[in-house]
Amino acid sequence: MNKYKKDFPIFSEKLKKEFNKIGLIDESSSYINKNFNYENFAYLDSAATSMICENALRGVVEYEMYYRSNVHRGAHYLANKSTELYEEARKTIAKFINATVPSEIVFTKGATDGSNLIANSWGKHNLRKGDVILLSDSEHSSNSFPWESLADEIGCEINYIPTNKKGFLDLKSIKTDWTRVRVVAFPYVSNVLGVINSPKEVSKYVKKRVIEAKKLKGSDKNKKKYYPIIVLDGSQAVGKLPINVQKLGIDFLFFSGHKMYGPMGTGVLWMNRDLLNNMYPYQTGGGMLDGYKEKIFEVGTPNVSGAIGLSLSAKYIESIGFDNIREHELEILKYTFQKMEDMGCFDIYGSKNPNEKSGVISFNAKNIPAHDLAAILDVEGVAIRAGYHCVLKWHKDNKYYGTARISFGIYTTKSDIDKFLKAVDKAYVILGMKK
Amino acid sequence: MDLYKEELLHYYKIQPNKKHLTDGNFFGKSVNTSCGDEICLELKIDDKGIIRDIGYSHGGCIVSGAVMSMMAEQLIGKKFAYVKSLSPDEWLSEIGFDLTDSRKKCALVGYRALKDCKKV
Repeated sequence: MNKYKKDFPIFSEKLKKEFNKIGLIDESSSYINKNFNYENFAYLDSAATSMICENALRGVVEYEMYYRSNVHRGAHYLANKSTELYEEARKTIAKFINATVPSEIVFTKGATDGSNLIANSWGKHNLRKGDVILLSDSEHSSNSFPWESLADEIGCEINYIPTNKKGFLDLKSIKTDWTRVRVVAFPYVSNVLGVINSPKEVSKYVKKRVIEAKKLKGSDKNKKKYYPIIVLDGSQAVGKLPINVQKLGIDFLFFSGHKMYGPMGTGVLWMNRDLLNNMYPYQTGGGMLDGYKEKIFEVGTPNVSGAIGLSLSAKYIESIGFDNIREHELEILKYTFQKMEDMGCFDIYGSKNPNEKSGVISFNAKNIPAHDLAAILDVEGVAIRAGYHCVLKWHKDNKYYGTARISFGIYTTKSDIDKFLKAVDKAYVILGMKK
Repeated sequence: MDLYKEELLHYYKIQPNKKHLTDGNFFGKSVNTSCGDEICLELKIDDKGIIRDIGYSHGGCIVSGAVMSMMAEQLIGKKFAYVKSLSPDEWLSEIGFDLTDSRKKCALVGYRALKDCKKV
């Protein structure tokens, strides 16, 4: 067991016993599978959903037990306390990504919710027929479908940033009319290829091309209105890499809480406040105390316990430290690449250089379809992902009928990797196939 | 593992109907986007509406390929109108394997391609 695994209730017998003792969980419940080996299964699907850390879970439970009440519109103790905790959570997240002020943070249901908010609250009011939206060709559906759907509605054109063999955004191969580009959207870390892109570099490149295409001169070069907005999907990066939104050259950042050891159904949208004048809420309702035109992007009763849990997972991440997180990730990546190469039966997609990667490896085991591999590994106690990973275009362009993917969290151990490789060996035996 | 029995693997490995029909007159396609299975189905149907030959291309998992292979054998000689009227449950009952819900989706890729078949 690595030193972080104990911080995750799903892997910790001690924490489960403690929760059982105080009646928070009932181990005799029929909902709990007694045959599933929670302590010893190899969970290699953290890019889809990471496990919740103890801090976040305790925060959720504590809030629901002691402070549950509506925020922003109550005069009693619980309502005030609830508001205080919710806004404290916003401050924590703002600090976590170095936002200028907490009001730049919008709590969402997750990455897809954040991306839809941008497309509908900014896109719908600022894009016109013929404008170009630039998306990476390995974009997750959360950041492609909202824009593709809006493009259909308005009559915008979608152009793509090609992904090169290593998995990076190939900026020089972009074919577009830069005078019409209004949105550039891409992931910080690809959820299928795992490479770490450079948002700053992309932003700089876009600016350069726009200046050339529009022949901008003098003070016009500094006017934001001439440039496209830069939308960054941070889902696979936040929690693994230190984030400073003020230095990334972006206008929007969205990410999920459930991929950074926080509760399910939580997420964050950060927005550049300069854009607020051109944004309008696309959902109206509860919480808009001054009428439906009020510029509030969190309507209805929010997921307060989720936001608190998420802020506590951010604190947990900070307590480990990004250097230690990266050190652990690199150690697991190096070990995994070496062992996979030794086995000689894997086609690995994208860069094999750990220094260019986050903890995501997509591959196929020779002759074994990805879905079948995942099904067999599941029986062997190894959880991996198989399929398109919500990245349809890249898979279709490359004619892959699905890929398998392993992805790591701070709790991943070398013995998880050994277990995975042993299970792959067994899959070849079960299926009677050659490596 | 129970699912990957000899019969299923046999059908996946042989797939005699995994071929292109030069004289196919009906075509259908189905994709299971959650895991990547894809089947393009070609049928040769005579004047009496009988399926005389089947060809298909397949990409994806063992279950979707093996079931298509197995069902292709059974569909030849049957009336197209009849096989097209089969329900998903009837299709699955012909297979004879116990499948979890997620693998039923794989087994039904060929079924959906059949349902999609139209005259070309």
